[in-house]
Amino acid sequence: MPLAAARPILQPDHPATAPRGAAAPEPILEVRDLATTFATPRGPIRPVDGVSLAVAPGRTLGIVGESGCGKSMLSLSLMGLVPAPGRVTGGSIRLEGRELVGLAPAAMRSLRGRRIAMIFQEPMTSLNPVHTIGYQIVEALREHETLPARALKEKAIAALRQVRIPAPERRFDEYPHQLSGGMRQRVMLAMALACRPALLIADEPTTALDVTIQAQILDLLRELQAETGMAIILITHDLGVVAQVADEVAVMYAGRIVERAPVAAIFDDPQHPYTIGLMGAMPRMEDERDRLVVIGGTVPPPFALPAGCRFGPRCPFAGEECRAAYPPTAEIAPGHAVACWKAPVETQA
Amino acid sequence: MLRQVLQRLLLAVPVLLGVLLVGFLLMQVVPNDPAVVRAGPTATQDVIEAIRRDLGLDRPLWIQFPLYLGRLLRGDLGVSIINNMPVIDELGNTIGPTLELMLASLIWSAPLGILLGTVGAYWRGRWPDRLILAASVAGVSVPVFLLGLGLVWLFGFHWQLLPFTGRTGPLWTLEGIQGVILPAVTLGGVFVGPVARMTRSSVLDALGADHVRTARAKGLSERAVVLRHALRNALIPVVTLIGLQIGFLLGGAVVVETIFSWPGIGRLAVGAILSSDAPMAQGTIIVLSAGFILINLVVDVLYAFLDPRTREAR
Repeated sequence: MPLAAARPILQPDHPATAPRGAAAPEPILEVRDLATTFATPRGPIRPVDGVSLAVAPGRTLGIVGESGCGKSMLSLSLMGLVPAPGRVTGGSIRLEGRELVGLAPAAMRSLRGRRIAMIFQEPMTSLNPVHTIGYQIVEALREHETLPARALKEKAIAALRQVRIPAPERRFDEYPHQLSGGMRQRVMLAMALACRPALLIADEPTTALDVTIQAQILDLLRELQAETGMAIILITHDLGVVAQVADEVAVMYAGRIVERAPVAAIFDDPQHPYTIGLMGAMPRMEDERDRLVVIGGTVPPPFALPAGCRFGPRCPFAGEECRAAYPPTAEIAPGHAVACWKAPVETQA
Repeated sequence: MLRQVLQRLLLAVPVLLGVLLVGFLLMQVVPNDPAVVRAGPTATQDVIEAIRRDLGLDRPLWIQFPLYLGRLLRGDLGVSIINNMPVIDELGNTIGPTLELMLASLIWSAPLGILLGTVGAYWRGRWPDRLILAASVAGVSVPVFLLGLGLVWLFGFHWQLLPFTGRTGPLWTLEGIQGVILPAVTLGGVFVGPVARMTRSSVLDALGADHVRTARAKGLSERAVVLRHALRNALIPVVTLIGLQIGFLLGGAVVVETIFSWPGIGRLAVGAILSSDAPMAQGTIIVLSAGFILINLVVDVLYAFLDPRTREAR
């Protein structure tokens, strides 16, 4: 599927958080060589294949890539929620210094929702239609905190107030179908943040919402991050969203991270041909072109990966070495790493 | 909520009228003359004519039908051809035992089916699931009469543990419970399989839903996820199925009541049909149809209780 960002945003713009390029504090989450494998009749496939990343408190890491590149499977792997028959088969996930790979299910469960929380793409279906939103928030709180019923309810209402839901006392007893899409995503946020997690994974949180609501939710995310100091991993295919909220960006392709850099560097000086292609595919206000630019072809499915560089068959610069072996990841500037035989490319004209 | 119930009740009226019309027309095509039947075997022609005028049977059909409805409202369903008893009395005597039998069948089979289906979904693909699947296929495949006769032979004759010759007393007495066990096991037995299979697939469907993923992301235990988030939502289609199946249960009751000499409305209907007792057959049809309509109403109300989205009429 050709990737084209919907919003005509040219440059990253977010004044509130730390200055770009500033040395990041100690990471709260460190992932190294993470691999998630599914046993299939056609043999094992690896939608996440050797991913390394890190994110620090108060910072936002954007993960971008086309549909099918493994973004969502990566987030489920971090949550310990990979659906059967898949499982995490290698690498390490350290959250607040604690290793999550190989953790007992019960121990992982007690972290889920308490230290590491997640919101999803479809606010319409991500809430249970038969329970009130109050019940669903209380349920999350009750799982991790022992409090009397009244205190639980007060905390849940406070969580609704925190995500700027008007009249939270009244909303508490309402059902999801009585709320709009934007409101439901706020409820999801309230639920995710009720236990004050250290890390929030937001998987395409605004994709299903219309543009004005999308901007409101992104603003809210940034405000809540400033209030709580949580780290955010934002998964999206929308570079406009990345420009708005991310501090760092990781570009994912066919299960691997091909480029990782501070947000300004990704937009000003993209190095991987895939990243360059994504930038080119983003519509720009000043363009006179009639047609959107697309990257030819599609992400190869995990059971039909090409030899060598996985982007090779779609890459205009691919040469002999690209077909021979997968390129190592090299740091070409502080905080800017890229996996490409041709990098660093000369400064573009 | 109350408004919805009233609305549904109003909607049931035309359906019931349709059923009554069919029942009424049925009487027109059978060869028995109701006036002759009412008058009895020894009546003179004058008496029969008087009754015919009295019932309006000499008038056109479109006048007869309202007259017939009027008699129905007064509880006059005619008299049996066979024993000259008022149909309404026979219906009154047999409806209780049938309700008892249905209740005794449902009270164990529906919960058991839901339990087995949930267990199967929880351990999907593993041996409990396979065992339950095999058992429910077997349960669905066995004809009611075979199951009934098998149980009679095993528990009635062979081990002589339980009575099998009709109702032995009201349900709240020990004898009554003993007497209802075999018929209720037979009738409920065919019910467990479909409910289990429907529950299993419905719970599995629900387990794949986005909101279940959300529940897992909150850190809920698998048990809480299955019971509070999957089963609760999955019950909505299951309740519909149970409601529809009760209609078939009424059909099964006809067989079971015959096997066990249960003095219910099913046996009454079979007897009436076999002996061409048209007024009695018509009465049983009306009662069974009304029962079906009532069950559908109850299902709708339960639906609203289970699914908040249907609660307010928007």
